[in-house]
Amino acid sequence: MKKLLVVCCWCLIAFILKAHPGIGIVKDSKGNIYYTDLKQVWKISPDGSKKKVVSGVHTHELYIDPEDNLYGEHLWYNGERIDTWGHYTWCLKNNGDLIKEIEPTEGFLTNYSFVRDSSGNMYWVERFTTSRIMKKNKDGKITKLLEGKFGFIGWLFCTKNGILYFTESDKLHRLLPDGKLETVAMNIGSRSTDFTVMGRNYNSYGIWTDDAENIYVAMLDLRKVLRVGPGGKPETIVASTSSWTICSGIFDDNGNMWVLENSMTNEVRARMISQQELAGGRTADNPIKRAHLLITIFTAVAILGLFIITRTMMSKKKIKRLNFAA
Amino acid sequence: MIHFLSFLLSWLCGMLLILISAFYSYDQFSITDIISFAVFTFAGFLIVFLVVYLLLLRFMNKRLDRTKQFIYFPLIFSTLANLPVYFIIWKNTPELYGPSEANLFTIGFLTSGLIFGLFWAWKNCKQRKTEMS
Repeated sequence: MKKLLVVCCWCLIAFILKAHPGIGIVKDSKGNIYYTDLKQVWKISPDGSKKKVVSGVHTHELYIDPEDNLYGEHLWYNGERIDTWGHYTWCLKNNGDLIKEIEPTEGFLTNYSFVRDSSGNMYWVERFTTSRIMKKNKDGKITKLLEGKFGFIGWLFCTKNGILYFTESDKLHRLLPDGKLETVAMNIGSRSTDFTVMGRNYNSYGIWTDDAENIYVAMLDLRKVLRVGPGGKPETIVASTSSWTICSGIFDDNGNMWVLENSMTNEVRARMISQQELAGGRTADNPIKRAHLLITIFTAVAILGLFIITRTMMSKKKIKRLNFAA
Repeated sequence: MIHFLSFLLSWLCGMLLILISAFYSYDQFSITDIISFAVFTFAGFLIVFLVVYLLLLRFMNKRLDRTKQFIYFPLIFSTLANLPVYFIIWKNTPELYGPSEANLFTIGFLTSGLIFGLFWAWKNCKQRKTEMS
């Protein structure tokens, strides 16, 4: 019986799947938002309509250039028998044509990245005992920007003018184009355990910035977003509830924050958090709260109904017994 | 049938308490959140119901005097029978969910145990009255 109980409990825990969520959420010059759900890429227009723009691609990152060409990859596993990975990169041109930039190749992407500045320079991390941050110019020349013994370096984020942000252990760093490394904030995260999505790493994930040069960091396992202002003090601005956790984000042209969220069951959604909500204000009409209230009332009514059914059943049994006794 | 009804009633009461608590403690508790809580508490309560509650109910029905059931049933089902669940909730906080969600799960299971105990104490009491009359 004990074994059965343990097995049942573990089944319940195993239901909450481990995942490696994506961070790909980008915006084009017309205000359209693109995001990846690790199976396809979606486009949300400024009028709120949503449509699939690239199907059948497993891409964690996206990049959109100043001409609105969208870039991503497709990564796949070739099975346990040969135990190899394959990839190709694609580009959705601004005229709607989908082309392959790098043809299907074995292994993972090397010397290539979706972290780019407005000039088209690519940046990536080589994570070893001694980690390196590399840069590839538009002409293909690769240079080493930074080298050192770091803790785990998370996703890179690059601003338009080439300033790189990344988290290392529980610190947020800034790498300036001249190679100068600055620590922007300390103690931004706590270590995760093996059961969490991040698994024994500090749980910082996607990074993004706003026009006022505040830096936003998604804390995956803590289910919140930190904002680091010019003073370097991290403050929690959004806390995700229940099974959804924020992985990455971006600001639209109206100052609303769009967040890419991942659920415990590996579903992905993009959600807008309005300026008012971010500022701590509440909108007058809250449909989510109204739906919550309706479901609560419905549950209470269901309980009352069940209780009446039970009472009726018991009374019928009682009459039966009395009749039987008589 | 009565077992199924007691299960459904207890789980729904637990869910109701979760919904009420969330209404006052969260600014946004979306449909997805509600569905997630409903699925997880339903699955968890079903397992505990089948593995612990039914056995304990059978055991206690034989041992406990019916006059004491109104105190002991809710107490035992909300604490002792739910111990594995409380342990799992505690062990996975804050790795799988935040402390506020852990509190909601705890409130849900505590209420379910309480209602389940009260239900069976009430049912036994009614049955006793019928038998006496």
